[in-house]
Amino acid sequence: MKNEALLEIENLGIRFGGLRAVDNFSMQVMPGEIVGLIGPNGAGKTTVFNCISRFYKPNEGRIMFGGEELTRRSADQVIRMGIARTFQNVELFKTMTVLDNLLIGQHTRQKHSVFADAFWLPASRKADKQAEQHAHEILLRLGLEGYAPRIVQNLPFGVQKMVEMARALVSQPKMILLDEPAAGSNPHETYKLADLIEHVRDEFKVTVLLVEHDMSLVMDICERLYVLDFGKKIADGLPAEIQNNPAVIEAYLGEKEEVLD
Amino acid sequence: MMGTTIKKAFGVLSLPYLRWPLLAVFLLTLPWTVLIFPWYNANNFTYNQLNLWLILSIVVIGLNLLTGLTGMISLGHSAIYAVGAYVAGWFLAVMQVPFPIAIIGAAIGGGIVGFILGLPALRLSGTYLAVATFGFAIGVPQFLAQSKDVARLYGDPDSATSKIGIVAVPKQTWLGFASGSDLGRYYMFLVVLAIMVVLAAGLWRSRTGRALRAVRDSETAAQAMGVSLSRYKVLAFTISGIYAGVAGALYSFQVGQLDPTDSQFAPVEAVIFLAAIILGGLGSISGAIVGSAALTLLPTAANSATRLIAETTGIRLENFEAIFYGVIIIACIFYMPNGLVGAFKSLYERLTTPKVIEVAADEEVLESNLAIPDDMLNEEHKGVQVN
Amino acid sequence: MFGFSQFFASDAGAVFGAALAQNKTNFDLFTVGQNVVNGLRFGSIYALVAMGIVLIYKSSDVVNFGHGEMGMFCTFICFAVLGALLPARLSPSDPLPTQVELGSYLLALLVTLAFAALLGFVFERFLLRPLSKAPILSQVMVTIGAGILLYGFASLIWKSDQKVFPNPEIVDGPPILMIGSGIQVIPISREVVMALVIGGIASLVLFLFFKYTMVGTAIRAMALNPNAAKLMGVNVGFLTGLTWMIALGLAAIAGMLIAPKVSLSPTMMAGVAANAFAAAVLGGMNSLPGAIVGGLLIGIIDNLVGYYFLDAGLRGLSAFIIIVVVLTVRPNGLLGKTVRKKV
Repeated sequence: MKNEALLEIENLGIRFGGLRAVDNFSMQVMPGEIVGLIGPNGAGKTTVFNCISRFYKPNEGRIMFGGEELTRRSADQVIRMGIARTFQNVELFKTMTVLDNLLIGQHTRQKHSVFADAFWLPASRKADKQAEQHAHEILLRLGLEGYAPRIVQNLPFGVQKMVEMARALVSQPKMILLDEPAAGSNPHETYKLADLIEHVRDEFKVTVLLVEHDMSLVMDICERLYVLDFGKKIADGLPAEIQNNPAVIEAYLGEKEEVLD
Repeated sequence: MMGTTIKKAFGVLSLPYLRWPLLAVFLLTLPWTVLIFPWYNANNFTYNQLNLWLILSIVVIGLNLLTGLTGMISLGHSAIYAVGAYVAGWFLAVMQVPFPIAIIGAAIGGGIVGFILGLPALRLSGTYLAVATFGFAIGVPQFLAQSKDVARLYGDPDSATSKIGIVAVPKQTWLGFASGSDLGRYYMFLVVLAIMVVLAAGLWRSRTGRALRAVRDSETAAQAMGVSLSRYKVLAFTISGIYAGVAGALYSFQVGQLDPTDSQFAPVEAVIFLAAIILGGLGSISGAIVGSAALTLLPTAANSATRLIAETTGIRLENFEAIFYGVIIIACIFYMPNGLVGAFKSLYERLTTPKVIEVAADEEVLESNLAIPDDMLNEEHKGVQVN
Repeated sequence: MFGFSQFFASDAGAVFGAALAQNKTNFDLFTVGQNVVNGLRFGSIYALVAMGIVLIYKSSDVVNFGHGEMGMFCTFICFAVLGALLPARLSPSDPLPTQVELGSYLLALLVTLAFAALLGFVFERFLLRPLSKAPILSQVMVTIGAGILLYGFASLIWKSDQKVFPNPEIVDGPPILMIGSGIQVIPISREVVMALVIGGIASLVLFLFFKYTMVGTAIRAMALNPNAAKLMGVNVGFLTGLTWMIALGLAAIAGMLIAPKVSLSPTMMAGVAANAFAAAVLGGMNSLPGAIVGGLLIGIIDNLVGYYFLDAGLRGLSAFIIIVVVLTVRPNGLLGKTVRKKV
């Protein structure tokens, strides 16, 4: 069986009260791909992410990652399986420095005990040194080196988003989930961001699944797309196909009409 | 100009090889240097105060780990402190072991109670947790005062001479430290405090400390980074319980006789712990020590002032400490939200940072700052400037 | 060592226990019934305090840890007013009579309620509202700090000894109700009836107020969604202050009801407040009916445990255990509503 899917979502369904947020949704992501999950506002895209991250417990369906069943795990075990993510509203550790944020990103890679920490044992100090080194490497690659000692709270939004991506990468994940990476960026920054994501995928050997609203980014780098509307999958395939898909256009136009009202 | 002078003056504190020896000398000679202040004289009361300061510091460091680093409010640590004292009392009075073993026993006892208190913390948050822990703080001293089962551990509760809950703690001398003398206790407590500080610093600066702060800053992101919320919340409670237990053990040596109606075991003491954290600085080890000093040593000055007023004008001010604590707590919340340590740090920075850097920092914010290195960009986007 | 050693201390519970503990093994209906009646009487008082706590929590989103002390201070004000109104004493430091005529009592009550309203308004406006954006710890500590401060002032002005606090004259007389028959009769004294009646009236008035008046509805809206309420033109600041005034008024009444029984002193409300917090949590911090139910339940449980399990010392811990057990099974209390957080 060559080319087994890295992430496999089967018939995912989740309800909040009476509302079906996601309904019978299935998708696959192959290793090394950049896949996009798009759809109008409120379609359920971030809900799918939150199911993968195990913040929500789906009512139906299951999620397999690397052959293992993700739906059995708790939220803090997800990163151990190799999935790291960013958040729509940047969830960095605001009172801590950029460097510390990246050190926490490596929490699961450091294997020493609380005991070692309290007693200043060599295991603890060595682990921290290595983690710091790795963190600096990542910061350098993303052009964030100068921000290392700065407190996250005081940084501009665009930089915070980059720091979040760095924090996701620092755990050496197999796959990263990017939740609206281009939010708040101007068109020029978006081009750079698109390039960055592609190079990150190549250099760090990560698979990328992103949720995005910005079509230019999506069309630029996504190799395949899934389109959600009202929690249901209405289309999937290559970007060129999706662009001309009447159902997709309808869904987005419908959104535009609401805005005009 | 003034900035550099101040920097030079305080520069000596920033040199590690000078800072620690200076601090050590200061602490070791404190029983004598404190006599400079007119309201202290070389009597037991003064040394009592110093010892209580050291004990309070230990509790507050542990509590700061819970409240400052992890962001959980507990009004129940006075109860853990009481349990620590009674456990140590049992080890000394009944088992008659050397006091280091009593301290370790109290640490374990405190840790267990902390663990138990941490379990509801997984379900409750914020003010609900504060209320629940507060109930614990009220219930435990009552339990110790009324429970015949507990009294049985220390001897026959029904005999004519013993009272439920009262335990006499014998004095010892071990390795040169005499728990019978105030000065002996001072140095013993100093050693214990130093150990607890080193352990705390180890936790603070490391993976554990970062994980706890992560839990405070964003539970969502913490989980996404692999930090188990339940594990670390309970850990924070357990460790803070260990600290309170150790402090309780030291208190049992200090006071010689345990009484459940002792004000140190009353729920209001839990409030004083929190007040010390706020006063010293949330999340800071040195803040815990400074805040504790303010809250044990200042009331002595206040009391002397009260006595002076009573002697000269005949007006007796009763329960002045309550007003003192109330004013300090409220004033601190409004005027020093970062505590004494935080206020000192901001003052230092304000006086020593040249203005030029501040202006540049503002300008930085206005520019676009995605400075992605060129080798991460495709050909057509390399080297292109924004605006 | 520190002078205010009895503050919040454990002997508040001992006061209740000592009054009842005789032998501990009779579970017959009569003894249990007597305990339940007493429990209801205290429970009614806990409910009044708990209602205030819940009101404050709903409008300001903070637990007022100083609530008991605020009520205690208002009761002292009442004491001072009564002292001024009653002419018959030889010197100001003589104790008050155990009963006073209804007119004086009501007048003192009015003045006390006015003071309570003022205290509530001032605290909310000048000490709590500036901290609305501050971390929870600051808000919690400012309520505690205020409580300690009021305790200190009460001790300073009126000293710490226990004082007689009067009931209104209508309390004088034979028990109104009797449950049971023959020799096994449980008398329900007028004091108990008064506590229950006042508690009942207060609950009814508040219920009608919140359900049917414009102001009450506005307060409910504000508690659910302050921003939406503001957009609708509701003056959130004024209403929050009003809620505090009502809450402290309830605490003052509670203080006046319990003072005759346990004697007026600065530590008087400590035990009551502790049980009231447990009651508020038990009933659900955002539920007013919950506070009433919680208060009555805690009153009964506290009395029963104190009577039958005195030497196990469990009385103080029973409140804590109740809180933890209830919150584990129903995190929002018995009658509380779930507040859903958006991820």
